[in-house]
Formats: sequence, C-alpha cells, structure tokens
Amino acid sequence: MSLLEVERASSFYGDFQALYDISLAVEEGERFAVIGSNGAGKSTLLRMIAGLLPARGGSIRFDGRPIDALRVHERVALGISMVPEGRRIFPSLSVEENLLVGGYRRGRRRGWDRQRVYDLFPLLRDRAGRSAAVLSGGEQQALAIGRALMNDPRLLLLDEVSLGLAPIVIRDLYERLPAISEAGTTVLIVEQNVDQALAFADRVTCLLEGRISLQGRSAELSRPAVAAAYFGV
Amino acid sequence: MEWVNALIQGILLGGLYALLATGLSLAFGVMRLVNLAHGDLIILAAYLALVVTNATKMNPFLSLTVVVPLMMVLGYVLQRGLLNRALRSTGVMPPLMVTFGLAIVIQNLLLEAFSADSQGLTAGPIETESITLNDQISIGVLPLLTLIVAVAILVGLELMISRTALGRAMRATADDPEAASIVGIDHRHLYATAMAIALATVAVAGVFVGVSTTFSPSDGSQGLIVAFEAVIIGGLGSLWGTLVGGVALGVAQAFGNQISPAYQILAGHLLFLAVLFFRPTGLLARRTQRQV
Repeated sequence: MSLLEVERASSFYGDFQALYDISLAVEEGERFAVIGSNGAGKSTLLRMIAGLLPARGGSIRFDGRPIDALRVHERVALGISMVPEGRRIFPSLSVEENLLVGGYRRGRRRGWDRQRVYDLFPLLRDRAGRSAAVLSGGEQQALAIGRALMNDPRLLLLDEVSLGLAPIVIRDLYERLPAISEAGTTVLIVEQNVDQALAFADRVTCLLEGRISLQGRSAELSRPAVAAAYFGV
Repeated sequence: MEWVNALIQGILLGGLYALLATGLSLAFGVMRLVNLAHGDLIILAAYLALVVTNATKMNPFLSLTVVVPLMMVLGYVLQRGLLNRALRSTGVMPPLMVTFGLAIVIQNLLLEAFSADSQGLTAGPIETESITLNDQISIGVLPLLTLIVAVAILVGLELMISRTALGRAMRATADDPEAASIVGIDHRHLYATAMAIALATVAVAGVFVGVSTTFSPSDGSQGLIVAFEAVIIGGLGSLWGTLVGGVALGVAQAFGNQISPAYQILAGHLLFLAVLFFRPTGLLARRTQRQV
C-alpha cells in the first residue's frame, strides 16, 4: 500500500479545469517530484493533496484512508505538511515562534523537533529571536521548511522551493533535503527546475496542461523524453 | 489643582472606556472583524446580570460567575454559526451588515423583554465610596476598581497573546489564515474561541457599565462609539493601544468637562478626529506590518 494515492482526481478553479484525471502513488520514504512548466497544474495538485482545493471526482487516500472529506488542519493532524508557494511565513512572529506554531498539531509524534530543525538549518538558531519578516528569501524558505517539519510529518509537500532564489541558495537548500527523507519523511516536491528535480527525486511525474505527460524513475528517463513531456512538443 | 483633578478623573474614566473597548479590539486584532453589535452585546450582558441579580439577590460583581460563561458560550456559537460565514465571503461589507443586523436584533429583543425603561445594577456602598487625597481631589472606589480590572484584563490578554500557544496561533491566523490552516490551525474554532474570550470581557464591561450608570436597550450605540474611538485612538489591533486610547479619551473628556460641562463629549470626539487626521494608525500602531 502506498502512503499517498491519488486516483483519477480532477480540480477546477471556477469553470476552469486545472487538473484532468490525475492518478499517482507515492511510496513511504520515497522522494517524488512533480515537474512541469508554468501553469501546468503542479501547485494545484499540491494544494489539492493538502486540502486547500477540493478534488472533484476521483479520490485521495493517505495511508490507505480516504482523506477527501478532511479539511486542511485535519490532514495536517494525520501528518501531511506543506511548504507553500511563496513561503508564507508569519511576519509578525519571531523565527522561533514560527517554528513553535508549526508544531501546533504534532500530537504525540516524536521525530522532528525544534532542536533537529535547528541542526538542519543552523542559521535559524542564530536568528531564533528575530522577527521572521526581516529574513532573506533563502532564510524564509528554510524557516518555511522548518515550520512544516515541526509537525513531524509523514509526508512533506514542497512547493517550488527554488522560486525566486539565487542559484547558490537553491543549491544549499537542496543539499539539506536528503537529510529529511533519510530521517524517514516522504518528500513530494513540485519543481520547475528539471535538473534539480531529477537529481533529487527517485521518481518523477511531469504535468502538461493539467494532464500527466510522463511518469517514471528519474534514473531511467531520457532527456529528450522529459523535454517532450515538459514542453509538449 | 482643578486640572490635576480633571486628569485623575479622566484617567479613571478611561479605565471604563478601555474595558468597553477590549472585546472590540480583540475581535479586530485576531480576525479583522469590525463588530457593530459590540455595544449592544455590552448592554445585553448588563441585562443578563440584572436578571441574575434580581433572581438571586447576589452582588452584581458576583453575578459575573454566571454572566461570563453565558457570554462566552454565546460568543462561541455566534462566531461558529454566523460570523465565520460572514467572514468567509470576500470584502468588508458582509461582516458589517451581519453585525449591524445583529445589533438591531439584540436591541429589539431587549426592548421586548425589558421595555425601554432605564435600569441599573445595585452594588451597594461601593458605588459612592471614595478615597480623599486632599480637599480638592478624591478618587471614587468604583472608578478605581474599574481601571484596575481593565488593566488586569488587558495585561492578561496581552500575555495570553504573546506567550501562549493559543496566542501564537491567533497571531499567525491574523497574519495569514491560509498559511495558518496548513500548520494545522482550524481557524473556525480559533475564531470562535477568540470571540468567546472577547465576549467574556464584554460581560465584565456590561456589569461595570450597569453598576456605574443606568442603561436601557437603546444604549448600545453609545458604548460602540466609545469603544470604537478608544480602539482607533490607540491603534487598531494593539491591546496596549486600547488601554492608551481609552485613557486618552477619558482624559480628553475630563478636560473638556473642566472647560464647560457641555464640552465633555465633544472634546472626546475632537481628540478622535485629531488622531484620525494627524496619526491615522493610532497612538500605538501594531508593531509589525505584513510584508509583501
């Protein structure tokens, strides 16, 4: 049984259909990447899994249990954490408070905690007392990841980690992601940067205009095939 | 010396005003809800206290043990059943319309149940007792108690907001409700909890209003205006600001009264307009603003 199973799910913004009959399965402990160009529906897919957008038709199961009817905070309680696009840290809270509020629903799970997040991102420890609003973009991204980890998730959803960041900052962040999956957390990333995604993930799904255009193990995918699926040529 | 006395009386009056404004300030600070029924809820609490004291002959302050829980339940249910739905729609109008309608409903229900006669809560000798400092200045025990209670409530709320997990969740939700939901905060429950706490302070305000002065079903709008002005003068979303705003309003009124009793209310409104004109964010604006 897969940790996350999406079966023939569609999603709409009003009358506009953003996703068509998407099916995918993410195994426990896996590193999974969803790639695709701007507007392909990657973020929509992630928001649908997190519960921020309703899935229409089909079903989403987490650990074998249907979660379609659960609201966002209830999915968080099951162990689904999300790092949203644009980071969305809480600007009027300090760095440490952002982490603490991330553990709002961790319940009795004992895995990731503040110390381990600080060990993963030592710069957050140095800035613990500062307002989160004054952090740089890369630091905010680290904080957003740390905040999501504080829930000690079984599944971590990362939306466009590299968006708007300098290449050196992106490289630094991606160097730390393996430590998260090695600790047992399943990681699902959404990424526009194909090289970054292929280097990180075990398996990749490519979206094109709301449909899956390619799916496979990243080691086995040829560059031309990925390019064709990505651009639809 | 007369002006010193006016200053002291103004500060004491400001305690009552801060108490009136606390619930409004909290609701705005946590969920950006402008509650136009705030004043009528204060009057409702005063009537609840009246019913309890009439039935049991207990002291109005003791009746808070009944009125506070009742108002908290009302706050939770009101938020969960009505106000959350109004807040869910986009735009500022729906919550304004809903709370405005609620104000009218409360007012007319009170009118139906208690008639338009003025009522008062009787707390015994404390109402007239005073501490004499010298031949020109004496401090009323009841206003002093009101100020102390207002400060205690505001300090308590500020500590709750700044130090506890619940307070953190409230600040996070005020920053970004959607991001709050993805860390697992159920904003519907959180808002309802905030409203329950807000109406607990409204219950206290209602009893102090009832003991300090008389009240009738139509007095809610006066309470709303005072609360509104205190919140705006102090700065939206800041609890310390609400204390400062209430006291500033009280002092302005006392100074106006010192010039001529006809100017008491006017002086308060003039301060309010001056703050809007020269410092529209209020005397103590919220520490950090949302970053884009």
